[in-house]
Amino acid sequence: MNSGAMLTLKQGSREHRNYLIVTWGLFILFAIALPYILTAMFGEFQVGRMNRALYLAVAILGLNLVIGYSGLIALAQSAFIGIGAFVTTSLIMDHGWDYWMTIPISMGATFVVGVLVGIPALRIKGLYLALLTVAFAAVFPTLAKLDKWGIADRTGGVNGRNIDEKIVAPSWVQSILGIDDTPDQQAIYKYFIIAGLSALAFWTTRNLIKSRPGRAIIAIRDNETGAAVSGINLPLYKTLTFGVSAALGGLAGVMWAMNSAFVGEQDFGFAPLAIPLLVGLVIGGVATLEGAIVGSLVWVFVGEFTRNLGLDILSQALFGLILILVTFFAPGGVVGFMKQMKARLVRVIPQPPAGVLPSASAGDDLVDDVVPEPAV
Amino acid sequence: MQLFLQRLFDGLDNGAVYAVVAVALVLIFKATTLVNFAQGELAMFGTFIAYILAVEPDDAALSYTLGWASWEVGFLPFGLLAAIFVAMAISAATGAAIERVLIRPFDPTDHLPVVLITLGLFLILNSVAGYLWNFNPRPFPSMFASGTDDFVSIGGARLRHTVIGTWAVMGLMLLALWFILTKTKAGLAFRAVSSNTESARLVGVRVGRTLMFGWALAAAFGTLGGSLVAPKLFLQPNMMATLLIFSFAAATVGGLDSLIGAVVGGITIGLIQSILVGYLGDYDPAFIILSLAVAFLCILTVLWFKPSGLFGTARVERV
Repeated sequence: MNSGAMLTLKQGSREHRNYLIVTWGLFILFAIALPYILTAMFGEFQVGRMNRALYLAVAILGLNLVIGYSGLIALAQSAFIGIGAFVTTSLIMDHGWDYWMTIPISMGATFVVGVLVGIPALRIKGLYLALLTVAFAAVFPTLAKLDKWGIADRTGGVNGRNIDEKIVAPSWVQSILGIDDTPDQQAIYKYFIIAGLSALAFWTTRNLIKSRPGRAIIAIRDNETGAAVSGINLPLYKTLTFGVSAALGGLAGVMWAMNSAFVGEQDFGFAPLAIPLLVGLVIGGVATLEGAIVGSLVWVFVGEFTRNLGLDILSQALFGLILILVTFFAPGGVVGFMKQMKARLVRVIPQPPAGVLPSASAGDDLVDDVVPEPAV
Repeated sequence: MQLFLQRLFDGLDNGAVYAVVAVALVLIFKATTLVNFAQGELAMFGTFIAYILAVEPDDAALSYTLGWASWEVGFLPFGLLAAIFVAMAISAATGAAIERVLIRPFDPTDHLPVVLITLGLFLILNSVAGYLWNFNPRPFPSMFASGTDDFVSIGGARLRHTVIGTWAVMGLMLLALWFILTKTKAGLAFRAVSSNTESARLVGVRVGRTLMFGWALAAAFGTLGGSLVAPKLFLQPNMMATLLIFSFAAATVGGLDSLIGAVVGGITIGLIQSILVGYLGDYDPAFIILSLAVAFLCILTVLWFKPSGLFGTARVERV
């Protein structure tokens, strides 16, 4: 067991469980304390920005599902966020719905649109999905402006649209969270809603990836022919993956509407949103769940930092440069680098469940940390 | 009838430009099965170089850093033509350098890194152009007579000299491309590589050099396309963004690996855009906004019914 790690744990052992409880417990405590820390240090405005990083992380997670796990290249996440945000806005403003009720409709709508856009490109190998989604992302803002069939009325057209229905915490929640009913303080309430929804999205996606369909998706990425020969229905799985990814974009759109209470087509374009999401994904780490959140944080906060430096025009060039440098020198992104560092500190030995052959033991908790036991 | 002819001519005008940029896309796709997302921005940058060389040496920011660029170019058309040629040469060198430095290190069958690299280039070129020359649209001189009276009247519709000129340039470009690909050794190598990279390598074709040559050609033609369209769209860093989508549509409709297809596709997209959107706009002005959506629908339709496009080769995968 010469791993060089400071701490070596056997998977499933008591120590391993304690380790998981401690690390996750610390993480959750930190997540609960975070909005208060941000408020105390920088004011509620930064909590709103944190919320933005959280829901964009869900959008990047969707992008990651397609690009990282299924190996297809799709670049239209901006449009799906836009659809989610516009559907939410319209349902609330024109039909008097509540925010939470719009979630299934928005996710369902983006799923269907994703499938419809994806089907033709996904039947064929190659970069067709990339071409098609770039075109879709570029077209979407113009469609949202179409002054016909009530589209522009619902989306707000070129001016965008405010959502008058404000989110205010009920008084008992206010007392638990220790906030008052001023609009600024609601950012903290929204933080807990958005963090909860994002956590749910991450947890579901993680389970999806570790389940049978998830392994099928990864098999398609690694060897398309091999996957097909093993009985995986390629077009079906590819289309479903793209649809789920779009639905995650739709969920991010709902949270976008919640957080900013304003939607405008110019925010959902290819250059303003789709490319930054991709940059976030690559910085964070392709095909890692944590990468989505790391990339989103880097994009939202570093992007703001460069704008504050007065480098507004060049911030795009900076992101382009980062994109090229990361692709060249750190294809695993920040998370890939962190994992290498972590492997030196903590090492978890996989333990096959009883009655299962060792080769089938992958897929348990924290599979990313599992290092195969070296042959003795 | 007059209106129809007018829209036909407009469509042919746009179509020629889409065709030129689509040819640039296809050149790269043919050789490497990659799509260069920075193609439009490279063309925009090249057009800015032509602008600086020909039009306003004193006004342009780059002339301060590149002192030699501030020479006075004599009278226009000729000066402009010379400037465009020089810009095309500079673009070609840039394209070749990009291939050598940024693209070649990656495995061409793994699409993601190359997509990321070209998108990164897209961001850098766009924002550096905005930083150097700001985002205000500038008038760009046309290579052809473009006064209000410079047109041929056919059936009451105006076939402008610029349209004829654009077509002439496109024809010349295709002729040059045909000559390069069929009559020169580099062209032969290019065709060998695009038909079968491994076999070409085995018989001694220097694949890397040939791909560099393809990128150089594509960048030069992109700049030509940019210079053709700049008088109409006005020169600014975002000039090529929408045009690139139309060119994607053109290349897909024609078949991503067919040069003839790119030309036919470009004209098709130009005509569909001008005629369909024109008549939809007569029906209700709100529909004018749909011209980009038409390009998207064209891509979608082609992928549904004939993924290889009108002239592309259907790929047969051996399992």
